Formats: sequence, structure tokens, C-alpha cells
Amino acid sequence: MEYLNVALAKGRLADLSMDFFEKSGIHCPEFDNPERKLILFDETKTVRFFLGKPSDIPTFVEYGAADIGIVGKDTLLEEHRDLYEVLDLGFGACKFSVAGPPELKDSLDSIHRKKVATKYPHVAQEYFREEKKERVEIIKINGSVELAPLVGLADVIVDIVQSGATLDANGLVVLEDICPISARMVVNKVSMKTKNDRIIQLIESFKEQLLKRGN
Amino acid sequence: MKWKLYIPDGVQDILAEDSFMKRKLEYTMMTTFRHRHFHEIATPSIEFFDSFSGQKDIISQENMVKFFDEEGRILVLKPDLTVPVARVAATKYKEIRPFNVCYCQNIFRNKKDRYLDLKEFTQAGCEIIGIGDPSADGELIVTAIESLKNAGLTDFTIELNQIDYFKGLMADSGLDDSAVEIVRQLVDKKDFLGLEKEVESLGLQGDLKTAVVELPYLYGGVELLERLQKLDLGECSRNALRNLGDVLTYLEKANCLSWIAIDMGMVPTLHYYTGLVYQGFVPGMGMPILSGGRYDDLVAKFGEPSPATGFSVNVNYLMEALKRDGIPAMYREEE
Repeated sequence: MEYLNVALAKGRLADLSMDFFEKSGIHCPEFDNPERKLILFDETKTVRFFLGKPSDIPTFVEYGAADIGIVGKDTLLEEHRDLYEVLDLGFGACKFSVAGPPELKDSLDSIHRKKVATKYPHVAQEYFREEKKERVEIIKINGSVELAPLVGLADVIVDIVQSGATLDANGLVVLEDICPISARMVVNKVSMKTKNDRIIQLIESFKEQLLKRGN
Repeated sequence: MKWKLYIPDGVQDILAEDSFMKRKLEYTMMTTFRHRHFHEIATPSIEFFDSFSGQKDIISQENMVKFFDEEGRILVLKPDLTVPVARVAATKYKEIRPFNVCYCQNIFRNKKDRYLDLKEFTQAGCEIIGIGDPSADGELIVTAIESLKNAGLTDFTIELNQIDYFKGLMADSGLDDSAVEIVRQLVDKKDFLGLEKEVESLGLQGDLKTAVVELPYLYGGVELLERLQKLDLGECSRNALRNLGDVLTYLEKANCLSWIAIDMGMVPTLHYYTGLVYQGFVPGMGMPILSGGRYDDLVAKFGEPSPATGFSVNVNYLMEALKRDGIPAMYREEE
């Protein structure tokens, strides 16, 4: 039988995803091996798992290198890939927010042309353009986004907020919420047709597990 | 003079081997069309922007290559061939119905295509203007299959949908436009659980609920249709299924069913298509090599209402599909 190729975002999402696969009867003992390889097989050798950087998962799936991927909604919103987004798996829940110094609370709109620092330029651009109908200056930052307003590089940031602890530690607050985020199962559009039975079976099994968890 | 050695993004030089193949491929397709009684026409590369814009934009403004003429009117490099054909049918061939026409020309887009990175493509296609009957759709699909087979393509599937089925379900559920768009997006993304939750919260009941929730699953052979016909649905959806059934009967008589699949979950933003729609796929290739369907409202835009239906093959994609195991023998230049 042809492999069913699954791309997983390295880290916590992969661990939580594997639990779903286990309960769907797909076992991958190699996954617990500390010397992690990038390609892993299940015992029956009909499923192949790739471990990749989160932002690359949609690319693997769109081009068909992987049939299925499990990745955060944040990455999907930023990457804008052409794929089926079949299930919201509920875990990895957080949100996209606009954050900044507390004095901007309720007065964000007083800044005429905002400077926005973010790791997610598309998400930020789209939020300000589509929701708030305004043009902003986007400054792409690759890490420690919270620094930007503190050192005068930007007025506000757009970032993922989970507990808010990092913002708090740096004296920043959430000014506006953009949208909730959680892990999604995505499927290549052609695989959905050529491997229809196996993929639908997997979706059904995941769906049952989600309903059991009361999601 | 910095750029003199380069060509712009999204265009390509077609070198000797590929040119030979492309010319022969186009000739093969056009010969098939001609044998099936389609007459070739050619429309200009430059058209007025107005022909392609309107209430519901046919092609988005950002995706057209634009410039001005000496009187300040907006011109575009034509982004599509169906619209110019509709214009010609309504203005130059008013008296002739049915008007069976074929073409093989280049189209231009402002955004690079995601698969081949191109802004200029060749399309070869056929249209029948003036027949609303499903036999016209059947005839076109048979012609499409025949042309692909003659071009040497052995493994492909034409996937059919009748978008009135979805439109009917939405009309029967009494949802407003924004709710319909939410459902459409969920179906189009195949968000299985999201769709179930949405349908639950919208309070749909009975067979209507079952039909909407099932949409993303509805991919398969013609047996799907029989199952759907047993549901208790509104008139528009039932008519859509009957129409799809008629097209399938036509294809069965023409011995073409082995190339056909059904995908009722294919509900893209509805540009100008009004009923039956279809796309052709080759295993392992993410983009459709062919797309077509019925566009009964388009010719009226040019002042002469008339039912119409057609398809076009993306010649660049088809070449990629044929070349995957090297250039086939029939397209090699003899020494």
C-alpha cells in the first residue's frame, strides 16, 4: 500500500497530535525515541511522519509532499496556502492580539499611522486593512517582538498571546483581540481524492475523539 | 541597460524542443475540436477593462495587466477567453445559434500562477452558445475527453458538480447572504466538524441538514447521485441532480463514464458559472488541467441573453502532465 504521509509541526503540537493517531490505531514507537529522526514510520509501515518547522508544514501539504498536516491556525493564517482545513483539533489554543503599552488602552486609534512590529506581517496587515480599514507600517521582527515598543521601534505589536505572562513581564497589555487560534488538521486537495478512503477514515476517527472530549 | 539579459518575472522563452511539442499539441487539440464541428475564432490580446469588470467581478481587478489608450480608456491584456467569446457571440454572430466556437490563444494575469510561476498562459477550448439543454454540456465534455486522449494523456479524471445543488440547499435553508458565505467557505475548505457545528447552530433540520453536512464527503463515482436523489430536498436542488443525471446519461452513451467523478463539495467563489461545472485532474498534479461549465448569464452582459457553456484546457499544464516521464514519442522531432 502507498504511504499516507503526515507532516507534523515539531514540538508540543506533534506530541499532542500523536495521541490522536495512537487512538486511531496508528502506532509509531520511534516517536518516543530521544534521538529523533526527521522521518518516522508506524509499525505497519503504511504511514510516514515528517517532523518539520511549523511554518513549513502548510508548504509540505500544499505541494503534496505530505497528504496530511497538523499545524496551528496562526501558521495557516500567515501562509495563506491552498489546502483543505478539515478539523479544528482544539489543542494549542491561544489568540492573535494587538498589544502595546497600557497608556494606549482605549486610545489606540489616536495614533494616526501606526508602526506595528510582528512575526506575522500578513496577519497584521490583513487585520488593520480589512477590520480597521487603515494603513499601517509593518515592521517584520523574527523574535522577542515585545522589545519593539519598549525601545521605540514600533507603537504596538501583533503576536500570539497564550497566558499573557510575557506581555505582563515586559509591561505590555492586550489592546485588541484579533482571532482565536488552535491546531488544525489540513489535507492536500489532490490527496483528498486519490487517498479518499484512508483520509476520510482518519478524519472520522479524529472527529469521534473530539466529540468524546466534548469539543 | 541593467536588465537587457533578462526577461520579466512570470514569462518564459519556449525553446526548440518544447516549441515543437507545443505546436503539435495545439494542432492535435484544434483538429479534434474541428472534427467535432467547432469553428475557430481569434480575439485580440488587448481588450477594454469594462468587458471584464461588472457587478460580480469576473476576474479581480488586481489580477489584470492594465494600461491606457490614447483617449485615456483603460485597456487590459485579456485575462480570459470565455468573456471575449461571449462578446463576439453577442455582437458579431447574433443570428447564429447554436454558435459552436473554439480557440487557442494566450491569456495574461497580473499575479504569478502558484504552480508554474507564469503570468502568460495558452488556453485551448470550446464553447457552445445558444443551447441550454444538458446535451450541449455532454457534447463539450466528450470533446474535452477526446482531445486529451488524442493528445496522448492516459490517466485523468473529469470531476463534475452542479452548483445549483448547493445554491438550492442554501435557498431552502433560508439563510442570508453572509451565513451562506460562511457555509460555502466551510464546505470549500472541507471543514467537517466546523460545518456540523455551524449547521447545528443555524437550526437546519431533516434531509436538508443531512445534505449540507454531507457536502464535503460527496466525492466519488456516479453512484453518489442515486443516493442523493433519495433525499427529500427542494425543487432547485432536485432539478440540479436531474440535470447532472442527464449529463451523465449522455456521457454513458458516449462511453465516457470511466473518466468521470463527482465532487459535490467543489463550491468555489461562483464567478460566472451558473449550473454544471467541471475540472480535469491528473494524478499527482495539484492544479486542474481543464476547467469548464455553464455560464448562462454572461452573454446577456453584452446585450444578447443566451444560454452558454464551455471549457478550456490549460496547454502549459497539459504539457507539464505529458512531459512528466520525458517528452512522449509523438512529440519528438524526427532526426
